[in-house]
Amino acid sequence: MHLLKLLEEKFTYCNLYAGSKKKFLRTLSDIVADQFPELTSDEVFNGLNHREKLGSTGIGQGVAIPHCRLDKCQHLIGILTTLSEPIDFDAIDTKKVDLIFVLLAPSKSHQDHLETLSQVVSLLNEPRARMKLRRTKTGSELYNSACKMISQIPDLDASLSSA
Amino acid sequence: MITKEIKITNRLGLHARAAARLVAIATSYNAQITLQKEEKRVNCKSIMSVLMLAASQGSVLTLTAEGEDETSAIAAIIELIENCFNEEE
Repeated sequence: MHLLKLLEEKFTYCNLYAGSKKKFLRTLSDIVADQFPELTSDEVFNGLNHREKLGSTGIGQGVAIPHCRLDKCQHLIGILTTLSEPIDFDAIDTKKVDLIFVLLAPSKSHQDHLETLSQVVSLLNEPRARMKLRRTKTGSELYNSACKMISQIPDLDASLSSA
Repeated sequence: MITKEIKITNRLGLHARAAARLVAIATSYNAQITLQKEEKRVNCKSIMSVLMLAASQGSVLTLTAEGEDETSAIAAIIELIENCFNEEE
């Protein structure tokens, strides 16, 4: 799924206070359960937490991409957040994390999941994009800024026509 | 410089955890290592870059290494990929 289609303003949170990695995953799970009655907060938390135990999704430069597949998840869910205070995420480069994209996928969607993750990383791999997203002050500003930058990523459309 | 083609055979493809293992192995060598899928060529030592490839099951990748330890680097990476990134399927 194209990242622009996935991202919604109501799933974009600016300057969220997390406190710790665990608290972030819990807050996020509560948000998801609130929006998607088919999922409970515990299911989401356990899925994400289990995945983190296999290896942190903190991929460096203050970015993390927590993700998991869930049986009861009916379609891809993507949530973009910035944090008011960076948190320790056991990241690959040991840097604290403050820019997070959470991706939840149905159990069977391997390729779609991978393709979307690749687009998320294409966005967050750009130093200028990271800086701009971090500077936003409201959820809607973060959403609009992310959408604008996603549409500017070269090759994204080409790589997607096959997906 | 050595170049090898390798097919991704594990069910989940080059997903985040597999990519992390690949990058960990690549960074343990001094050689410059790149991974290419179709037109896209990336640094095999950067997890963000590797994830941008979105290499799913069946993708054919071109692996290139250049440096003193290029032979052992390529061998180690091919072993990891052929062993499906050491994960349980």
